[in-house]
Amino acid sequence: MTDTVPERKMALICAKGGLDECYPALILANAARMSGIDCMIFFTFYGLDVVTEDRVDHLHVNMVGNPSSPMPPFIAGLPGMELLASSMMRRKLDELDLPGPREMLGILHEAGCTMYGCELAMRMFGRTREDLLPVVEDVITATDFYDLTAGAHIVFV
Amino acid sequence: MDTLPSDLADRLGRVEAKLDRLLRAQEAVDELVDDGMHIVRELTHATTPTLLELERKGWFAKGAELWHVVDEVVEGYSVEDVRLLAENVVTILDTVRTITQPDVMELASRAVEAVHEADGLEPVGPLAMLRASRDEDVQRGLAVVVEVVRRVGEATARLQTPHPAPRRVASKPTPGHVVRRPVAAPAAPAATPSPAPVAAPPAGGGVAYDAQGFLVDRSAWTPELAEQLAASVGITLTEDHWRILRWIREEVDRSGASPNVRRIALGADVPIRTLYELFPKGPGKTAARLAGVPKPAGCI
Repeated sequence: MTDTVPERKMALICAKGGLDECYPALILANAARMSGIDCMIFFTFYGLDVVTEDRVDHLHVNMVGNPSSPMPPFIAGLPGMELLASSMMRRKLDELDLPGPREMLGILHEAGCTMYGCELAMRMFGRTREDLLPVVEDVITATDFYDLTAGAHIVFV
Repeated sequence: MDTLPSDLADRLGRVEAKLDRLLRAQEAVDELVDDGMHIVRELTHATTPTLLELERKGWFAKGAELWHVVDEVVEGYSVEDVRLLAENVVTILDTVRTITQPDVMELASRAVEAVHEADGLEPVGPLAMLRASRDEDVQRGLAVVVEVVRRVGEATARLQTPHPAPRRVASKPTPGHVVRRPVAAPAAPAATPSPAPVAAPPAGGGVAYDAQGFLVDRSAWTPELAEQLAASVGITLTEDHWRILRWIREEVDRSGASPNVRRIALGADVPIRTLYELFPKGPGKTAARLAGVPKPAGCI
């Protein structure tokens, strides 16, 4: 906001593809940009789903193995529970007037947050550059990541 | 030296007289003892069966043990203890009176009954415990037990603190009794990182700003002030800027809340990218500051 604030730079690593799991990265990135902080997100492993064209609108919430889940594990594992949890989460996001992942990525892109896909994860999941959303700047390797994030705070979300 | 024999004879004579007295006394005692022995013998004859009977019943063993108890008590307590006992005698008597009230005795006798009938009871596992806890009597009993435990704890805490603790220890934990996490000072102004001297909000006729440089009183805003504020963050206001600032002010008038970036983009129909170009150091906050409205809340 002011020129006296030292230059800051954030690099977030999004390695999970759950609907609930991608939001911390997206929100933090957006907050950084809104605060005038330079920011990038590196989508790797299942986090790649968040920037994959045919997956971004179908991200799910998985309650199994989540100790904070209000659902007992043996119920959370029943068929259909994942869909139920996901739809509940979507409804909650709507209530809070939070944009969905696709719109969030659009906002971030507009806001000047750069987004990268992980090259190794791409090969692992057999995806090509065309499978990813256009908001993704580039597909990079882990070493590229370090070159790009010199001087940044790196946060694994 | 010739006086010695006569002196000696004199002393011997006195000793003899004493001996004579002693002997006579001895005889008298002998007679007494003789008589006494008769009586004792008679007595012994008479009491032996009784004593035997007592012995058989273990009275003497018990007596010896009782003596042990007395001995222990005397050895185990100091004078100080006895003084304390004297001081607390009223309390003790009170306690004794309380526990000998008929209803308490009734309670005790019921408890004893239960112990006597314990043979017929099933062992209680966790499930049976749950079942039992649904019984109203058990619930009442549990309440009593809990209350007793609470009071014991209260008394213990009182004993442990040097000064008489407040009566209800449970509700007012004494220091050292319950470990409390230090509570963060509520609404600590120091907690919010105040971005060092906010690029000198220009002295526009004594307008007040908050710690982060937002106008305190929205009505104090003037277009000239916006110009000055913009210049202080390196922005030259264009018509595009003005359109957004006007929309923000209208929006705050309408809804009472400062709009965030997404709302501005949707409401003022500006692409988010343009907003970032117009207000590079964070459009939400910068635009709100220039428009003289509070800092927008929320994460988006």
